[in-house]
Amino acid sequence: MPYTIRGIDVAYEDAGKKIYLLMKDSTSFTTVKMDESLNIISRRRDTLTVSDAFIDVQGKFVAVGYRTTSATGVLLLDTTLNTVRHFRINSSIFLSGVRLYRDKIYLYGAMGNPAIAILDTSGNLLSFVKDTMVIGNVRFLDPENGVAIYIGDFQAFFMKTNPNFLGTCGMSSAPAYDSTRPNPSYTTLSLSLIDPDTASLYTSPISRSSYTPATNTICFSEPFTVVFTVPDSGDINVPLSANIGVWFSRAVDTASVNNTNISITGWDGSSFRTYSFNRTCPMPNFCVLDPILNFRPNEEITVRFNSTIRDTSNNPLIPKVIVFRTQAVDTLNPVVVFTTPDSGAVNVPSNTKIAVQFSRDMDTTTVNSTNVRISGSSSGSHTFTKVCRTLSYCEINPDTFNVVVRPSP
Amino acid sequence: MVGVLFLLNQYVHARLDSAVSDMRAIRYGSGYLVGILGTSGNYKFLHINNLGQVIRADSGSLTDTIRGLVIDNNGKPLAYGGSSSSAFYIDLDVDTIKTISGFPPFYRAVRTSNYLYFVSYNDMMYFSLGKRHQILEPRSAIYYKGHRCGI
Repeated sequence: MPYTIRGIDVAYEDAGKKIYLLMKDSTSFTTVKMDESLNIISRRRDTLTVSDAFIDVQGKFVAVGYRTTSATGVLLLDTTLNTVRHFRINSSIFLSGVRLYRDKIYLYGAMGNPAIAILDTSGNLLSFVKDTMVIGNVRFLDPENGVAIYIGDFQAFFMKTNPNFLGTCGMSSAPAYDSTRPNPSYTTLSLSLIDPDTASLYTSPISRSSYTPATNTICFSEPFTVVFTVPDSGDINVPLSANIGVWFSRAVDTASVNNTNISITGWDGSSFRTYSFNRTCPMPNFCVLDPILNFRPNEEITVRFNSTIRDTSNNPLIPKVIVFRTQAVDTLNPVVVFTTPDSGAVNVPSNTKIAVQFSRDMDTTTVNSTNVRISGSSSGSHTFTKVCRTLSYCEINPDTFNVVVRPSP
Repeated sequence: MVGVLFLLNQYVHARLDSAVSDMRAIRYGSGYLVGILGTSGNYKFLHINNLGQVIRADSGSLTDTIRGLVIDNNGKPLAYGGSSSSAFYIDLDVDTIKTISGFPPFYRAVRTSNYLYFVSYNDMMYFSLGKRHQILEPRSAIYYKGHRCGI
């Protein structure tokens, strides 16, 4: 019995050179896999009433994104159109499309505001964002480059941001949760492919003219990143008692620099170990992570900075992972790893404390006026007070301005 | 090189245009091609770079509805669509419109390694390739390129 098509979408898989066609009717949707000459390879008809349905293919997955009156779902298929998984989020997004990219599924469209939901292929909701400032609809998504193009309040917007479509501009997180659904029942339907016909094309000119669009830059900014760390990725012979200094690209919400949002794990060739740490943030964009336990010799340490770390404006961090290796045996003398401010710093505020990070735990009583001398180019030597917040990290507070710190001979 | 990396890492939120009724976009070169239906009914095409800056902007009038944009196998941008009684595509490089009367609108396009297909439907599914088109008929019988082979 014929059925009435109420919507279509189509995707192309470059590697296998296959076309995937999606046809929606009032009670079901049909997925068809064809070769480039439109020979049908496989097809299935899923009995599921949906309002919108879109398809995309990449790698080993075919994603059918759909909307019902109460939810937005994904039927994940393999490239032979067998069911892999079926899941939903509890928000009904009026879909404009679905994208598959690096085993993530991007559903985009409108939920009052322009909205984007990102799920992994296991059905976990990774991100759900909306531009709550406008009423509109995401019409195009380019996950490879973090670009969304959308309508909002009768305006066209371009947004380039991080892979989660969160950042300093535009989108903000919205609540939602995901759930796994039973696989819908499906049948293998019959399809006819009729021989090619010929249609006549009439060519006529159209006129166009240049115009000046009403452009306006709303914001243009740097992403929030970890600029560098000490030790950094690739470092070797890192002392077993080393702390980890972290410089952010701008002021960090220090409360988000915690053992939930940063993980430190070690692998010594036979076992994994997770390291908890204490955190000190002597500057707005600089924190020191002091592991509670010493690292093990010749251990590969992996530090993961998650996007749940926020700047002081609540923008998420671009995630970063660093990997370094500890020394084989702890025989090295302690060294000053870094100071803040460091040599060459200018315009240092007169009330700045001098932070000193040692490479290992110290006898902090030796951090005294005998072993540390502070002198100014014009003001001469200065006394100071000292606070060692950990055994390897001290803050020195000089009594006056314009100081030059010289190491003891 | 450092400067290039710096630009690639920028976040941008920019308004491309106002008085927008509907919109389509595709990747085009290193930037994007955006087709806009204005609230006054005119069409606008913006070629923007990957930071949302407009490189070229054109406007024109059209009686039919644009349903999408696609890059053909020669790298040329096309806009396609139609009305209830005709389908069309516009070669945006040479400003010509090609129309098929009595044909359902082109709703989608797919570029394969060799062909560009436009996809239409009414009670049947149509794949159109240049001046030829094939019909995929979702009925309870299998016709395989004109040969009945089952059910």
